[in-house]
Amino acid sequence: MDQIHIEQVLQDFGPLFSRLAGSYENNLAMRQELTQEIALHVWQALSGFRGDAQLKTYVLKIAHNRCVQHVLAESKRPKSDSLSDDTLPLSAKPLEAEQQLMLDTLLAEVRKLPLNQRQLITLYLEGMQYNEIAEICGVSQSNVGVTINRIRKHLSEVLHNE
Amino acid sequence: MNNQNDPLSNLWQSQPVQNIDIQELKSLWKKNRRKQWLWALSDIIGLVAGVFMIAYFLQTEDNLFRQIWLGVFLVLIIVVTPWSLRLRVASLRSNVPTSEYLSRLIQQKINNICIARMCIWMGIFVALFFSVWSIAYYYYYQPVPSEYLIKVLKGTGLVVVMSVLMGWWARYEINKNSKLLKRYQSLKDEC
Repeated sequence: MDQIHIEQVLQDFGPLFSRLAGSYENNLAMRQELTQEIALHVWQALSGFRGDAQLKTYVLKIAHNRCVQHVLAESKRPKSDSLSDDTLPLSAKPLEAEQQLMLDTLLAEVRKLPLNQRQLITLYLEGMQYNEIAEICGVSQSNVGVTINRIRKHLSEVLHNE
Repeated sequence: MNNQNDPLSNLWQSQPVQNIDIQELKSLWKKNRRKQWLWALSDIIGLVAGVFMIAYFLQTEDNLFRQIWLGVFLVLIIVVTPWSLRLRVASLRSNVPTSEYLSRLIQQKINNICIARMCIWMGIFVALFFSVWSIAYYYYYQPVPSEYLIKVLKGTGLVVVMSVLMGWWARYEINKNSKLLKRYQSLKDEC
């Protein structure tokens, strides 16, 4: 894969990496670092892409596995919530106050989920199909469906109560 | 299931995102590649230098016992280097489902613990072997020049110290990897 193609891939999936990093890390600097790390791992793994799966599926496998590594590394460090700065603006386009509140709630709820459930719901929220999610996570499609429906119900209830 | 019009998905995808710093990424990429190449190069140089050195000593050595020892080291170097190179290459592969990826990480930790345990036993074996050998040497040959005996004892002492150091390192590795293994397994159970 040539350099231009890699840059295109990073451009296409960059926002996805950032959202994925956000579901694992609430500290802005750490999130940026994790986003870069995901991008780096994807870049390294792109040479192994043979086209036997969709590029998005392939890329998300790598990205999620990098996040697993992040979770493992972070579990070694003492927890500190003092650096949490989710409310800081991340982009030039500001969100409506209500939407921002809902988004904060959604992110907080997603981060509370166990790793496997967090993976399933983030992939679903990114627009992946059940069969693709099953392939990425290595679980059965029926399991994916049942779990996602349960989490969606829970998230909708929480957001409704906000 | 089509989730394109799901309000949850829409809300999720509306979140502000951070851009990837391509320049920083490029420098990270170069740094990583350089590091990987340097490790691979050090393995290869170690292999070539080791083989040449042992081959040289084997040629000049008359003692059958030492020849066997050198032969064992030669085989070990030839087997271990490609194995460690393979591990380095394998560590870069992560395009597998997450559950399998976690299983691989767990297996890697189990392997590390096994290798560390093997090192402890090897250290004990080598230290015991040399100790028994130097005692046997003394009783059997009763070496007249005491300098030669001191030389043998020094050699044995060095081997024992090295074995103790190796054992200490291996215990540290076992403790570290056991803790990691527990953490990985609990994460795997979560999945």
